Amino acid sequence: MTVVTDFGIDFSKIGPAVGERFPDVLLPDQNGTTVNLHQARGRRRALVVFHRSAGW
Amino acid sequence: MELQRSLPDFERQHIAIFAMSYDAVEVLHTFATKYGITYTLFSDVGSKVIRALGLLNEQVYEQHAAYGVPKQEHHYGVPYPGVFLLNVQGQVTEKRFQQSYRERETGVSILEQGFGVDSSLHGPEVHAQAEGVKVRAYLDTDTYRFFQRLWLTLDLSIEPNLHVYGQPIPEGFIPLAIDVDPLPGLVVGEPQWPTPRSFRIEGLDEQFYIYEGSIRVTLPVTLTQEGDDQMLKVIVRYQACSHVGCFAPRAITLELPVRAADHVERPRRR
Repeated sequence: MTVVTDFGIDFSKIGPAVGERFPDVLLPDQNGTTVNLHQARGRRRALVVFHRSAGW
Repeated sequence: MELQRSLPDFERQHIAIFAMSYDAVEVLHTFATKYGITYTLFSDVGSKVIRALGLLNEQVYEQHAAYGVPKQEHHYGVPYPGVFLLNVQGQVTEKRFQQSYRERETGVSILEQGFGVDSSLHGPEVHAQAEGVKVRAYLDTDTYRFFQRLWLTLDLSIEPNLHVYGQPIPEGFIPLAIDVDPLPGLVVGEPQWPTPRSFRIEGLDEQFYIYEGSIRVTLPVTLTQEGDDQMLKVIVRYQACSHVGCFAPRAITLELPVRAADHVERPRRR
């Protein structure tokens, strides 16, 4: 079996860069409540996870 | 979901978790209820924010094809899989992305490798020792999902007045090396070594690099086949020396069990 795990994507060039403020995000959460990422974060550090669908 | 297990550790460290996908609120609500997810799941229907952030996965079809997954229109719109670490000012301090959505990091490795804080959820610790060196080893989780990236941590304690060699190293000397015995589907990444100290041996012109005291080496391992509980066999090779002479080269073997997550979460399935 050939294991393909490297698609040659350079992630340093994709999305917000290291050192930049993460852009503002204002979206509904799983309860339908609109959440402002930085406001909800407050003075905490944060982990922002991007994943494929929860439905498949 | 795996991250939820680590949520108490993230909360203890005052780190908020946010996840984002293109799913509708209802889909996320069902998912959160089913798996007991309590951190924020953002619903980015139409992938508008994902696209604006420049994170739309343009290669999703290609990736699926590589894994034999048929092309389906609804797969388009997913982001590249990965995480951003933000500091208290909200600035990005690190990006940890995977080439394919199949590879995932554990919450433990994000905490420990990314945020540099301890997790309470290690796999079991294994201890072994030989002349001059003690080793403590553990995986960041004792269960795996296939394609999940696990981190193996090795804490070496080198006896006072002894050292082991790092790299680069002149020919004929034995550097500290870590090998993992092959298993079907096991992919072992490059070890992350601490910086060795430069060192000269009286009467020799060559430059040496050494480790002394306590050092930590980590390496990523990925099990790419679904299936059985596994035993990772890790071999630490080194030669311990003092200022006056060296012991014979040694190899310390450690065996770390790792269980397939399916067996733990759905034991009745098999």
